Amino acid sequence: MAEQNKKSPQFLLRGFLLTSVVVLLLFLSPVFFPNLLLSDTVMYWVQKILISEGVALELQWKQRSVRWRAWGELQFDVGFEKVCVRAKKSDVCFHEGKGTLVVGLFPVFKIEELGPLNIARAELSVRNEGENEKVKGPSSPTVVSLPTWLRPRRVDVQLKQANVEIFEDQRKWIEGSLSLMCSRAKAGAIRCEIPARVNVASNDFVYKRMNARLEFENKSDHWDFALKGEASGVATSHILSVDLKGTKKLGHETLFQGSVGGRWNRAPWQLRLQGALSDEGKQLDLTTRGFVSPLALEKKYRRHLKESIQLQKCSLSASFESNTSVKMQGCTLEVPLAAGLGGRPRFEWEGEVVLPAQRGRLAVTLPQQAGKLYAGSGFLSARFEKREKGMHLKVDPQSTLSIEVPRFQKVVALLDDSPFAVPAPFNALSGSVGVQLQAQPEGSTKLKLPLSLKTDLRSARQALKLDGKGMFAIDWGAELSGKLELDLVVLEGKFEAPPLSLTGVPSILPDSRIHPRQVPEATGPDRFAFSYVLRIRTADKARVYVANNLLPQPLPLGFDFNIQSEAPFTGTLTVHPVRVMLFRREARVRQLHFSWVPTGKKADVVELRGRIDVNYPDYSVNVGVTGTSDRPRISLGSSPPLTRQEIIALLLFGDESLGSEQQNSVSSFDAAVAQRSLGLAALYILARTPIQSISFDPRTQAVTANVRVGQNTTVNLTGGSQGNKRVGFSRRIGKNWAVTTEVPLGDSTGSGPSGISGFLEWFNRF
Amino acid sequence: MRHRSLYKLLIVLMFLGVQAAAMELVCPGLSLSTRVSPSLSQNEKTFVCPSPESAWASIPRAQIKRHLRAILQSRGHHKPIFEVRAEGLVVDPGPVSRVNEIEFRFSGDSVPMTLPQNWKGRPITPSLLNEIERSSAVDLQNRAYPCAGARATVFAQRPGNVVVQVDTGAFTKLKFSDIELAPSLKKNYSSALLSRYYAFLNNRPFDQQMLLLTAQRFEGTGLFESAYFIPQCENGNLARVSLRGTVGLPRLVRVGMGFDTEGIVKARASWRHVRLGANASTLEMMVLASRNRQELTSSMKWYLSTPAPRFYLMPVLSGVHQFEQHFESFSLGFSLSPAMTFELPTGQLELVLGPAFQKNFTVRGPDQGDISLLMLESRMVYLSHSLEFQASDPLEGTSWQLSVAATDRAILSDVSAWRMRFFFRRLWNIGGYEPARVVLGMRLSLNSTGHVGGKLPPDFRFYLGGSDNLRGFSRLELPSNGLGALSSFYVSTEARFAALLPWGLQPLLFADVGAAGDSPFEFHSPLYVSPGFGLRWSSPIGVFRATLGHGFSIGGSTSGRWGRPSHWQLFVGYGEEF
Repeated sequence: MAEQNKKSPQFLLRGFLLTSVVVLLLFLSPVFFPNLLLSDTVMYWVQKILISEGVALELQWKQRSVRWRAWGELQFDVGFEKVCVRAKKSDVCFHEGKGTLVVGLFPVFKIEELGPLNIARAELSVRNEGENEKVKGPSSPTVVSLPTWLRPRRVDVQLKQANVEIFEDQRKWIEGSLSLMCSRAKAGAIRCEIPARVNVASNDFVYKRMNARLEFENKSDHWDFALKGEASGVATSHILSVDLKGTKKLGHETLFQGSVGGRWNRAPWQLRLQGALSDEGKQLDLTTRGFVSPLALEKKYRRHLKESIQLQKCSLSASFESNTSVKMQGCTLEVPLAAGLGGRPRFEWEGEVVLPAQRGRLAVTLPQQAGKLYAGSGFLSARFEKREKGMHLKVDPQSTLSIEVPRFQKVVALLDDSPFAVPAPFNALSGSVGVQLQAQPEGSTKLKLPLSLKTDLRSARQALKLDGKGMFAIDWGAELSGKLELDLVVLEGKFEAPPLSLTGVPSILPDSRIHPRQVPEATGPDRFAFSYVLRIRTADKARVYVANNLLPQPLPLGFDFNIQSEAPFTGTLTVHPVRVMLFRREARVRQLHFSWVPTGKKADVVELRGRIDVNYPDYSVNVGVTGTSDRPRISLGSSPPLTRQEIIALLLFGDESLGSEQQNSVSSFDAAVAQRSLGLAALYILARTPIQSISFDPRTQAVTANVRVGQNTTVNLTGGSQGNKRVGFSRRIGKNWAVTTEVPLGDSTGSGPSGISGFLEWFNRF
Repeated sequence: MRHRSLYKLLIVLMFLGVQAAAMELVCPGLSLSTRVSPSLSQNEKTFVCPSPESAWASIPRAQIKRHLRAILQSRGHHKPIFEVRAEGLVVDPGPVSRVNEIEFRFSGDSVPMTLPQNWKGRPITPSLLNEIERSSAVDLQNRAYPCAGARATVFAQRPGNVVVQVDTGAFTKLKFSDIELAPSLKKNYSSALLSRYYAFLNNRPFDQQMLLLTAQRFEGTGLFESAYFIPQCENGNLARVSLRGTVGLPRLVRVGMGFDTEGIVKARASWRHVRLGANASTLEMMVLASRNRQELTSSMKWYLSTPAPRFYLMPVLSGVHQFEQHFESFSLGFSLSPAMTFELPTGQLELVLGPAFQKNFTVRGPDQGDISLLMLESRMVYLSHSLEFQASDPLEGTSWQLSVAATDRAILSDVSAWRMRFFFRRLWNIGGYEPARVVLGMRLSLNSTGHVGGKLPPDFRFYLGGSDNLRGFSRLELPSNGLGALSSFYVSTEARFAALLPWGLQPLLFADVGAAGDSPFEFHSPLYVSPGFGLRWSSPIGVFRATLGHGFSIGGSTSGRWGRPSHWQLFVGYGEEF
């Protein structure tokens, strides 16, 4: 036993030594048989470990060899049919690859050479099935600096084509391809180029095709990168191009500059950027300036801009903490107007936006400035915040806007050839127009804008001096709605009506009921409900004068009109005392008063009240007008007293004793007037026309007048209504004359009731 | 070859000539590529051609286009094409759009529309759209929708199709309390008093036409010189109906005349007071004179109570002299009849029942001598609203009258007798066109007298012939024995072609049939037939009618007591209607 015990230590030592040798041999076996590093057994264990991590590795080798290239340097030469790595949300497969990797083992592990590595094809598929983890705040940009072991002396990697597919809920969202070329540049830098091409299948994006090239170069203490790319829509009207260059120093911020631009709706735009991203990626400072070409605007507006709209220097500062906050400062937008408009109005703004909360503030200033067309200044400041019920907006009560157009003719000239041309006769006016707006916040979803309007416009024979006050209220609560209340007072008005002849008043505004172009037959409710209440009136003692060739002197008018979007038109129009030519005589309108009486239906009633005096050498005739404008009632009187027929004869023919033809005309005129078959306009034309004869058809209630307008011209002055005629038992055909129709209640002949019979009657009331 | 070139040149020149002829130069710088009808008026040109030395010296092109669109719309051209050429603005007016179909869309109740059928093929102009809108609205306003409005629209995608968006408003029953008198009227009349003339019933579906008829009654009775109702709506509901107008002086003197080939000249003079007492009773005295009849009548409508505004007493005192072909008589009468009018949904019914005393003296004809009668007279008269509304130009409607008189020798009478008279008239506007194209009319009368012994006054005997019944015979020509008949009937039909001729001339065709008998409700042969034709002229001073008919006796002798030789008969009259 003792001998045995003496042998035991030796046995143990030998055993230990033998084991150590075996282990050492095993350990050193790759040194002598380096191919063991890529043996099937090693690969099996690698796959086993990866599967435990939820990743499947599939390998189809073509060739694999590992050899010592030099002391301490192992060279891996591999060739494969396919290498696939499949994870839960992504697959990546490389096909037909062949490459070389040299690693140095001494003094420390280091990749000495990478490549040549050529991969014929790769496939990358990413699946996003709505299981995205909620992002807790913005993720910091990961900026990786290459460790020293990963800086090979030689790099030659070439991935000829990698197909990329990204799925969103089993629907292909993006497909594209990229290639990768990396090589060792001078001074030990690694330079990579990644050209990529992407097609977007989703309709949510304007840009459907993207081509980009990312180049980066790792230098000793920093990275340089350049990104150039272009994206376009289905058509080439929308193009986005990016050209950024930057540098990232380890432990320092990322600096970049470049431009973003392209075409939007064929119009070029560009923003030049210069910025810095903090090392942690939590702060971005950006200075930008740029332009938007007027080509982006509709053609009718484009010509009013001389050149592109300029964004002057604008500083943006974004903070990516728990909330993203973007501050803007010193931003100025300059709008260079066309020569006719003159000036370059500038809008300055600053503000802050917090995302994703969508709250912040914005202040826009229009500094006092004057162009050829306008002069004005303004300031608007508001805080906003998105809430459950919509955008909460609080406008600073100091907000104000004041615009004055000192030369109205500039506006006239500017708009002359446009659809918004100032119509005649107002286009002959010169002078100024001023508008002032102020903000008056009311609650969180209402804003009132008290406004005032002044005009002082004149021409040789016209004038329009207006003073208006009102309020524009906008409500963006449950529904977006606006209401304009405006009280316009005409302090002075003189207008010239076009020269007219007495042959009827034409329709000069297209009827909105006739649609010359295709429009939807039924429209839904307006998204923006707009209502208005306008009151337009003459000042207390002011008159609006309308001059016309038919009037010996301008017609002095006073009016008070109420025009509402949700109520019928109401108001009054008064013709103040004036001398006019009527019945070829100078007549005096003592007063003519029109009242629009709302009936709640389409056709409102215009009530009349007036009196006109016509003086003759031996008589004075007064004409009373009552009733409604389409059925005026005319009463005639004279001093010294004449019969009605004599008065009509006097008015129409200038003589109370007439021949038979003229007597017929007098009867017809009397019948038409008595039946109220003539509207006011027709009456006026008759009164102004040298009449040869008049005939009246009581059935159609049409009056036909032969008037001396140049050669004999027959004018049809039908004023009667065609529908239900209001004729009765006693139909008047003159002041004291009527055709009385009766249904007799029997007679004594015994023959029973006879047919309806009538009498021509003279009557008088007393 | 030279000839060929020449021909080509000629063709080109002709083409250019046709083009130039088709062009219409509106003014320098503005022309129409094809002429429009009618050409632009001087006033229309004023709005599209600059007027030098005025504020209209420069008219922007956009304004010219706008005005031209409107001017061309008034001629039915909806799609003008504007082209700016070297010579100025050239406008192609495009084709004329015409009505092919009218489609109604309702935003309130869906109501079948009954528009007159005269739209198809007419150029679509703003005034036509106005007419369609007005007719649509009026149609509904006459059928319980006082706040109805319509908007006619034409969409480019469906040319010729007029879409009428009808907002019917609320279905409304009109109450008397909805009528609001203007302050100036309240001084003279109360609402209750005026309600006696209402052509509508309380709390019945609104009818705008009945408001017009009511205003017509106001004016016709002399209560108002002019009257009109204005329905006022708020949010599609009738808020009130304002009655406005002017009240004339209460006394009215009238002197009138008419004529026809029967009575030669008819003259009438009357004096009327239309506002007697608090209830506005009326008193009238009238003198009527023609070759056949002279009459002096004094009558009153004595309204006793405001709470019963349609009830009145009607005392009548009259003296009549008749001078007819077969008799001459004098009569003096007095009656005092309670009477009442009832407004029915379709018309007005008047009931009269009361005693009447008549003293008659027949100078010539049957039963000559003195006759006294104390009668109980009753009368029912119905006149439809439509006929009343169109009284001076009747197109459609109904009227009828039934009167019965009875007397007994035991009560201050010389004879025991009864008399029944019935008359019915109906007119149809065939096709419902407006204006009417063909108006068809029918008249029917049935009269009968029964008596026990004694003498009868002339108005208990019946005669036929004349413009009122058988137009192929002269006035009261039948029966030929001159004794009159104790029973008679006739049916008259007439077709009037209202839109066939211009200038308001309307030709007409008619056929009348009648018979008579000498016992109550018994008729002897022959049957009297009178077809014919005529002409109606609606002149500014009233209606003239002329008819030419041929009288036949069918089924009996042309001679003897009942017979009559065939002959032509001409009537010309003023103021008469079928």
